[in-house]
Amino acid sequence: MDAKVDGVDGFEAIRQQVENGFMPLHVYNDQQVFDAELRKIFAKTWNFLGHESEIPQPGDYVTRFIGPDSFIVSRAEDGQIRALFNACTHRGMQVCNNEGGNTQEFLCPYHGWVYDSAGELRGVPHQRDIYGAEGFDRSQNGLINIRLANFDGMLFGCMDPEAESFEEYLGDFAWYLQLITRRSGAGLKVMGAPQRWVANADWKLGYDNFVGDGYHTIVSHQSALEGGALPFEGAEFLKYGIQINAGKGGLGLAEVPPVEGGGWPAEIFAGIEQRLTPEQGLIYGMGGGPVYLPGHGGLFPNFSFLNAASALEIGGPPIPYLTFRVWRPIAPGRVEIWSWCLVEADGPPEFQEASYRGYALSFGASGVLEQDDTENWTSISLVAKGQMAHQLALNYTMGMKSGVEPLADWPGPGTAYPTDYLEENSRKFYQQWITYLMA
Amino acid sequence: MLMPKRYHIYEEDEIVSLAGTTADNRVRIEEFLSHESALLSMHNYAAWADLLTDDITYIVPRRVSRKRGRGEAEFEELMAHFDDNAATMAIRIKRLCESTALWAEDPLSRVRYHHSNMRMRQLESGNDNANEWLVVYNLLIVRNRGDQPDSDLLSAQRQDVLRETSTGFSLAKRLVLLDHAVIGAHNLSFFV
Repeated sequence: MDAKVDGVDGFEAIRQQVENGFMPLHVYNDQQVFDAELRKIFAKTWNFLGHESEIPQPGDYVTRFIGPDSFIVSRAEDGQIRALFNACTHRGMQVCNNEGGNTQEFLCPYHGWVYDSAGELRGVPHQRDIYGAEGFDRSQNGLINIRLANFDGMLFGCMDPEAESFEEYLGDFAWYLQLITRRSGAGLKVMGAPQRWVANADWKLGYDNFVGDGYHTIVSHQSALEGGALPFEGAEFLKYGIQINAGKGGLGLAEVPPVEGGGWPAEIFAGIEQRLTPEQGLIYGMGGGPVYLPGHGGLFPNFSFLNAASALEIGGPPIPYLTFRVWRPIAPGRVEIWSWCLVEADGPPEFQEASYRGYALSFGASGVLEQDDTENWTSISLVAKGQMAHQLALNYTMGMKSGVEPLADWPGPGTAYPTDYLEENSRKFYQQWITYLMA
Repeated sequence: MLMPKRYHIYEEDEIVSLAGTTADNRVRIEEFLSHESALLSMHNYAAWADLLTDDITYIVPRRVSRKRGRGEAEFEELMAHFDDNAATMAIRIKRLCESTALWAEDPLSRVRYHHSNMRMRQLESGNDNANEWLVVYNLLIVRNRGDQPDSDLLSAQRQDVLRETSTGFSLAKRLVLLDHAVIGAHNLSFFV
């Protein structure tokens, strides 16, 4: 970043452009922006780490990341889940170098310090001889715990001891996340480990796309329609959808295709009126209106979800599936994509498998939709590295002058608009982004 | 290693017994797989689809990095980069053959399939009308695209089941055991 946009003055210039609906292109591949993002966003916010169903038993753990920082998300013998900084307190070596499993202890291979699954330091070879009988307090040398929040099974971690609570951070967006987490009384469970792959693309582009880009579907994903994975007449359904921003998140709703119950087995919804408010129930047609898929959305800074549907045969009915995402920043213009598939834990096994297979056909690195998404984001990030990227501010003004007005009678919190062809959620994302960078 | 139930991973002690295949059969099987991969390299998916059986299963499970020595499953049962049967394969192939909006494959990837260390044996699952062959081999895929100097590499072991009828071989099962927990390519817009 050159001098005129460096530091606070530079961010002020970006802030003014964002305020006017424009986004300087270079921010998608810029070392100084990236360094500031790690320090001022990822170190300060609540980040999605995984789902409790990934570690159901005492001793289960998975290894997760916030940017470059590694954490062991562990369920200890007491049943409690913790997020432990994956670094030996002696020399900083990772005490876990695999993706997950079940263990009673994490052994540092350098000098043999041993931690239990709660992160307590349990053993130091030759401790008494080398530190003295009173010279070393193991209880003060355990793995660092970061703050962890469990929202209906969704695990979020925060590295900043001073940041607001997760509940405050989540704010009004809880109302919308519950539509997904409380659809079934048993909640959600993961289908295996998340897929992971890397792309030369900026982390913000994936989030931006999932939170607010209903507009790209018809062009980017035309081939999924032509192949039959998207079993619809056209891909403009999101034009007639609803876009909402609430708290630190946003989402888009699309009316589900006219199939019984939106394609979910009816038993999943049993007793849902006990779990959702009547206002939330309206989204699922409980007032007699249309049924909506809480289709695509995200929570700042880099958690996304997609609740869409895929056919499993040409001409077949749409099967709903759910994916959670983390767009893990690796380097300027480089992201590691984490993609979970989740199902209702008490759904019929045949539906769970069909839902997973629809996900695997449509999303992930080989997905007939997603393979075209990463193509777009890679190209943008390549262009963003050049000098001309400092001259081009991208047009994010969709809906600012079209006359679109918020829905006056919307039953939920936040602000809802009667179309999902709108860049309001993207603008809100970048406003939050620049606010954190300038804090 | 814990075995997944939706697919069978042949262990080395099962594979090592793949002895006694006649040179003639080996040549015929190697030629079939060379032809099959050439069709993929040429993006001739219509012709390639004719080589798949109606009950094809094509699974590329997610590999998980595990601590050694604990016997924890290294491949996920219900998470894969591809998990296809004939019906979903038909969607992938219809898209590849008919769509005019294949952005991820325009320009086309140049995908080269390298097979090595091939072992094979006839399975007992055949019948009077068809023989079935298990073929286990190493796979190295090199994908280059556009004017980019760097190539994507994918390394794996394939465990194929070929079915042989009077009209020749076809592919009945393909299990691809990737060496990668994290895929180092921005997409898998080609078959592995």
